[in-house]
Amino acid sequence: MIEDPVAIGLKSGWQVTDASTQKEDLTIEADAVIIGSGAGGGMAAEVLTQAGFSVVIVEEGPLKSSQDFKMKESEAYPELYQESAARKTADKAINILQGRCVGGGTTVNWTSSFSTPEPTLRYWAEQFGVKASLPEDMHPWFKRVQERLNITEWHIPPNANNALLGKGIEALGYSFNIMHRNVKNCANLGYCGVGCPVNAKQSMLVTTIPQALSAGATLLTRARAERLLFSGDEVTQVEIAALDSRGVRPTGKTITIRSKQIVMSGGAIGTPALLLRSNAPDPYRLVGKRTFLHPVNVVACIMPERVDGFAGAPQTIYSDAFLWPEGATGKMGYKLEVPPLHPLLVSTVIDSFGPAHRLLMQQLPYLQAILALHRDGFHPESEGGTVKLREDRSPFLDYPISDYVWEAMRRSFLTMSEIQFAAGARQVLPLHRAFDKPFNSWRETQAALKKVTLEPLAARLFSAHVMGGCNFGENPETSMVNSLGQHHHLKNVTVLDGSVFPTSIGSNPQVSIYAFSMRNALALAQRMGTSVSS
Amino acid sequence: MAMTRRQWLKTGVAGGALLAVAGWTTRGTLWGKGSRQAQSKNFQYEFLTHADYQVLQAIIPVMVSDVFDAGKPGYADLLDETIYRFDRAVSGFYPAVQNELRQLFSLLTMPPGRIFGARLWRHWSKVRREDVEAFLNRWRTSRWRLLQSGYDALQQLSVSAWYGNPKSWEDISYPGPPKLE
Repeated sequence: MIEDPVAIGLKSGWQVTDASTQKEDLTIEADAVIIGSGAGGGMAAEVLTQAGFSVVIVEEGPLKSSQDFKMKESEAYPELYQESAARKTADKAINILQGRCVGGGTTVNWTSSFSTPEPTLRYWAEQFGVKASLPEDMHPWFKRVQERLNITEWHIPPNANNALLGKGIEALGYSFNIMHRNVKNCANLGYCGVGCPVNAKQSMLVTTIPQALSAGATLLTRARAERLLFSGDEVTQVEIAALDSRGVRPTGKTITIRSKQIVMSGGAIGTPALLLRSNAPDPYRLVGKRTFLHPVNVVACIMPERVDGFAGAPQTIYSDAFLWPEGATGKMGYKLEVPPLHPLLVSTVIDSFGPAHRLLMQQLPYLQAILALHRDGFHPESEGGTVKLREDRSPFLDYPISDYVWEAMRRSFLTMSEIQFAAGARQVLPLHRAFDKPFNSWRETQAALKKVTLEPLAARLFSAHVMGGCNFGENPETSMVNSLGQHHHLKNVTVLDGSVFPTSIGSNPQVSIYAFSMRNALALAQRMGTSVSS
Repeated sequence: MAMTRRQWLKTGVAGGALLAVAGWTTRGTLWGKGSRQAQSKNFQYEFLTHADYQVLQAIIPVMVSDVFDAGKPGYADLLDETIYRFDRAVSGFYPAVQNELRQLFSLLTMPPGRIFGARLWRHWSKVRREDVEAFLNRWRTSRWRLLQSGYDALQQLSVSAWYGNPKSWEDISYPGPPKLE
């Protein structure tokens, strides 16, 4: 029997309310309300409760924990992800994976742990006026995060899916590295993306949130923050809608929270959407703009020996060899990693149907795949997307893909294909609608990729990293919040999540979000401490 | 403000006309009104209407080939189960996204849309396999993004309904999640 810290905590008396069961409207008061329980919200909750403040955490998703995690994709995607893992950009070209549950993205991510790259930090300082956030400033924060979440280099041999990426890269004369992961006593199962069943992954769900709840914080789940009400430059209350048991429709019951401080941790898309729904002050029309995705394309291949990409730690090898081809700016760079290959996900990545689709699915144990994360936001032709609201106030991301980005994807398709042949693949299939059958040689693949048309919907694209939309910086004309996350126009609002980044990060975001959120939450606690009367 | 329609992208004239036809024929027929929810002997459906169910009875066996062979025992129940999983997935989406899918199904089930959009002369309950294949191929490679993304939605929902089901795993040699303890 695996011990479930959340089940234990609930038995010990944590104050958790599932809003879908609410019978009456509620009003709650607290020193601080934290909207969102993901990477930023978790850090904020721990910091503020440790500083002695009363805290209410508001989470749109459900509270699910290891006793619920049965490693079944068909259950996990609807329960733990935004829009059942089928969230798409406005033109449907990019499929977005974001968490929606207690712990947010950290409950469903693949544990890959990277500090913010140094060129990214320097770029933010130079181009966006971000203060006190150079590599030497952030280094101690990355270290604290690594200690808090047991982030260490992975020492168990990579699974075949990962090892083959390394093999192919090395054969071509490039470099690769082993990842760090936020895991403790990992059983090397490979099901991080559907909720870690053994609590090895040090997500917010099993670390900071339990700490905060044990220290007396209140958690509301199935509760969606609809609007901030403000008077002048101060938010007076947060209006929250209780959602039904599947989290699809409001039940009509509401929760009103009055607190001195508002922490926004709804993530990229979520935080800008709430500001838009609130008609929050935005004199320079910045909210929701510059939202980035690290857009991903994929190449699959069939190997002569079993790969079993559904088993073993999902991401352990990576390559930054193509990430900074001309420094931070210039040509767009991409980071290479591999995705885990579980049946439902794989079936939706392949866009054919009928016999062609089935034949490929039947190769599952022999499939290997590489993905490329494109570093968007560092060039005038890569300004990202804009968060908008539909008529019913639900958010969506309008992310046009420019020629600059397509050019990089052509290069990454070529790179990934070449790597796979070099690693011994029998057949390679860049995932593009024009290619019905895999290719048998690098020469054929290269020729086809060089002239294939690249446009929305031509290739299935993904994003597991949504960043930006509420940039930080010291100049209110080009940022929504300052370097500590304080809103430039609402004095009791602090944004502690991934929406503050002015460009994409250039590495998997969780550590960046933890580090900045921890630092900025401590600064908030200090400000709150000096204004709390004893 | 027809935000949901614009989300189906800038399309060619015919694409826009198709959508207008779907809108015209469903105007005043609010979701749930004027059409009955699908119901099988095993399940009550939340999103799919009876007409939608017939569309999927025709499409899913083509999307996931050879699995739903009409001759095989248990075929009908397996297909029904898959359609239920499709329905379950859609009923978990944002209402605004469900509305988009409602428009897509209206296009497919109303005769003008079925005939001019999908180019299927027969009713879905009588359509032939090769006609469905031709329709799916046409939409998949259409120069109109409306139709391409309609194909993508149908394909992704169909294959994920099947491959999320443990009954599909033997065929693809997936052993399922590991047993713990």
